Amino acid sequence: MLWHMDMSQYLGIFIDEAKEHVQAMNEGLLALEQDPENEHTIEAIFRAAHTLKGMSATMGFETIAELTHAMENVLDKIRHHEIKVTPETMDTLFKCLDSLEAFLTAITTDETNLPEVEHLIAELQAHLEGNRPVRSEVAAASEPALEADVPAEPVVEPEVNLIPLTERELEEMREEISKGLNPLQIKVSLDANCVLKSARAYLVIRNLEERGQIIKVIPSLNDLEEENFDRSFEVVFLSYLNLNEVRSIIEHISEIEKVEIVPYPVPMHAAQQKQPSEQAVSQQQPKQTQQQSKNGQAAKEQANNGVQKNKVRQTVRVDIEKLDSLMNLVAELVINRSRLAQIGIEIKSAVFNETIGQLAQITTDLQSLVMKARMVPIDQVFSRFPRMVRDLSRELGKEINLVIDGADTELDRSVVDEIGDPLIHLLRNAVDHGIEPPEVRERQGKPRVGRIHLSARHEGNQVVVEVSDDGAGINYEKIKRKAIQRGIISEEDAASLTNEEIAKLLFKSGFSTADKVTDVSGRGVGLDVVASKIQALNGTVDLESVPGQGSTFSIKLPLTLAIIQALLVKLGRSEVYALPLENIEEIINVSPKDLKMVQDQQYILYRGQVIPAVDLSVLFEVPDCCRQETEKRTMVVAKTAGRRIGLMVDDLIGQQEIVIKSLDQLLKGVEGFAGAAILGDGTVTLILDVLEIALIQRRLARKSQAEKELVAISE
Amino acid sequence: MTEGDKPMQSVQIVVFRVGGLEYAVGIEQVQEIIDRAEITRVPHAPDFILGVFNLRGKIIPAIDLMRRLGLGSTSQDAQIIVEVATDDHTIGILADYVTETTEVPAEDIEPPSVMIGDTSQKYIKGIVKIDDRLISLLDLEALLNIDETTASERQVR
Repeated sequence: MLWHMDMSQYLGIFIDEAKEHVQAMNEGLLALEQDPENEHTIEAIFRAAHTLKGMSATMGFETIAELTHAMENVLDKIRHHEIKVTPETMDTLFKCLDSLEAFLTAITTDETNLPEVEHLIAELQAHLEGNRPVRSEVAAASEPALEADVPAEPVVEPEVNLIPLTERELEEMREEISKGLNPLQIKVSLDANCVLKSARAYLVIRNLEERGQIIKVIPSLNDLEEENFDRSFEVVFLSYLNLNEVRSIIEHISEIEKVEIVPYPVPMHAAQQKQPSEQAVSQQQPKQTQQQSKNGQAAKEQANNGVQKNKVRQTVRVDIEKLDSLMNLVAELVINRSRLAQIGIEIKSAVFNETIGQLAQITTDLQSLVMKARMVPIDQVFSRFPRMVRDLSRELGKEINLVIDGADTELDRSVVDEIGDPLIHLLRNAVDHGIEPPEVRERQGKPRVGRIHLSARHEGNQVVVEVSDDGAGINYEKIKRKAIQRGIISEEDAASLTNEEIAKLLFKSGFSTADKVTDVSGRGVGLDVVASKIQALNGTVDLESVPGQGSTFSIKLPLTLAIIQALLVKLGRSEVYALPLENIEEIINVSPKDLKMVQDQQYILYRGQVIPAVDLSVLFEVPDCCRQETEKRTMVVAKTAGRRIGLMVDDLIGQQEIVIKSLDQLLKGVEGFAGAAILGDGTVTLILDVLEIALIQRRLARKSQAEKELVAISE
Repeated sequence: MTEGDKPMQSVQIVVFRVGGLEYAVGIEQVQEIIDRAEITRVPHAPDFILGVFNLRGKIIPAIDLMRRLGLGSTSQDAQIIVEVATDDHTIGILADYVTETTEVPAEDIEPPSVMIGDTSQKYIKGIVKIDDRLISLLDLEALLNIDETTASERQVR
């Protein structure tokens, strides 16, 4: 054991936090690589390294402390422009992060074989000594930027230090300034004997908010609210009002000792790594901001991703198991609520029903809150990809820009945990097979730098995650040939395949089209693994590709809600089943003559489309179903995975919120049900799985066709 | 059962009656004994699974022991459910009534008579003799192992 016994209880927290710091450094370094002059980024990395050093020393992990200390030294020199950021420095720093990560993993798994760090420390030392640029050069590089950034410098009162803003905040300000708002930095000092500091601060903030837009408050609003500040606070503010008008608004509030206001100088052009001189673009050309190279944009996007993380939110770490049991308890509550509602109908008491109504409201709120508590941003997975793509593209000699969108899209953590591997696979695929080497791209008239776009968004009650690249696209002919070679399809079949069908072949097992087996992908375990993993999550994966232009993989996943809205239907005289509302398209009445028999299977014409019709009572062999052939039937038109199916039921009972419970493993082979739920009267109802029912129907249709053919042959 | 090793060792069992015969399970496997709840049929389930019922929010399969043992089927009049649990499953066995809970010396448990082709013996761990009664001690793990039952049986025909 490396740590003292009394420290071990903090180990879990240490590991979690250390991992976060390593991740923050990872992101910071990536951003720094795009924009080496960005001081906030360097500052953020430095702070993370510093904190980590302190933490690990406290916990007794000397090796981590030593390594982070050495990193800190290098970062400090970068921060003070004493050394330059070179690709080699970056590589070393990245290697250090890998080593830190390995170390943390080793601690969690209780491994005694800890990674060596001496060589890394030596490497860092070498960067410290051998990489000192000439002093004047640094000054020359940074000075013009300063000049351009501060056109209003003479106005700045010496006692106000400018609040550093992130690129995104600056961007936001530029937009507003172009509409004619004045950027101001305000420092408010409260009276020394002010009692309700937070209340005063609140008044100031609210008054400002009414008259303009607050970009940033230091210390944070949280701290202001909790009186975690001395006597003064600062605000970056945008308003149509001028400096003096703003001053009079604040001075109007009592117990304010001093208000200092200076114009906040906003550089009109996003800071860029390669053309520092371009920052001197005059204010009259705000459109210039849109003409940044893709490179700059990506850097900004990445920097923004980093920034969003840094927002301080008050959080508590909660054991996932506690959340799970909380979820279960809420589910129980929902069931009991339904039961009470049932009793309410029986006893017909107005007061009782009213109370139930309130209880129902509270339960619903509680339920959605717990559900939200289980949701985590997909960023947890996305955040490790920029680094991975960077390493891969360096390794393969490709130039790639990874653009990430919708990292804040939230979904259930169980899904987030599972989605990582498939995404890694798709990204590797895009880097390895998708994006061409830079020379090839140039020859084809494409930009040297390839682009991979990773995005997540909500669509109805699904989450769509897309990985698209502007690379070579898939070669349909090649896939066809490979498929024939591997005996997946016959030559005759291949001729009649559409491109869409060919793309589906990629998801079949044992398929890899890369001619060269590389380290990255193409080991034959390929997209089939992705497909099966996604299917296990109840999702789907599709591929769209245009040769020469790129490919897009889109993954659709359910939000995995344990509580759903369902329609209760009756089969036969007494059996009740639940049909998820999300699957229902429409409920129609059909008369027997609407149904057409094709090879023993029933079909119906629905909105110009022939869809299969399934009599659920027959399919489920409901004992007491005895209806007349001529009777009108109720049909629920259900849809799933882009398919429609008509489900004939005997009666509709009504809509209800139900809690999905899984069936015992003993029943795992039973098809057609997504699980079971407990109804208000305490009985169990089965939840229909529309997709499985559609698959059963297809199998039956195929079977009856095969039988027909058999009969035809024997005759 | 490790009969013979330690003569003093004894086993606590819960004895219940189904279809005129007596069966037993080790007390450590019995969760509780409840009145028959309403059972929801599960279409296309293996025939010995009567359906599922609700026990305080848990959804539990109800087993027809007679069917499983190939001895016909449990009477509709069976009014209690013996809830038992193995490592993998929690199930309810439909029964007429519980006879007793008793302690038997391990040496009184005899191995089942080996009769080839008798399906019922497959699920019996041993026979307990109390006076002139013959009580079959159930092997729940075997009883609930459905992988051996034909897969086609579970697929929709």
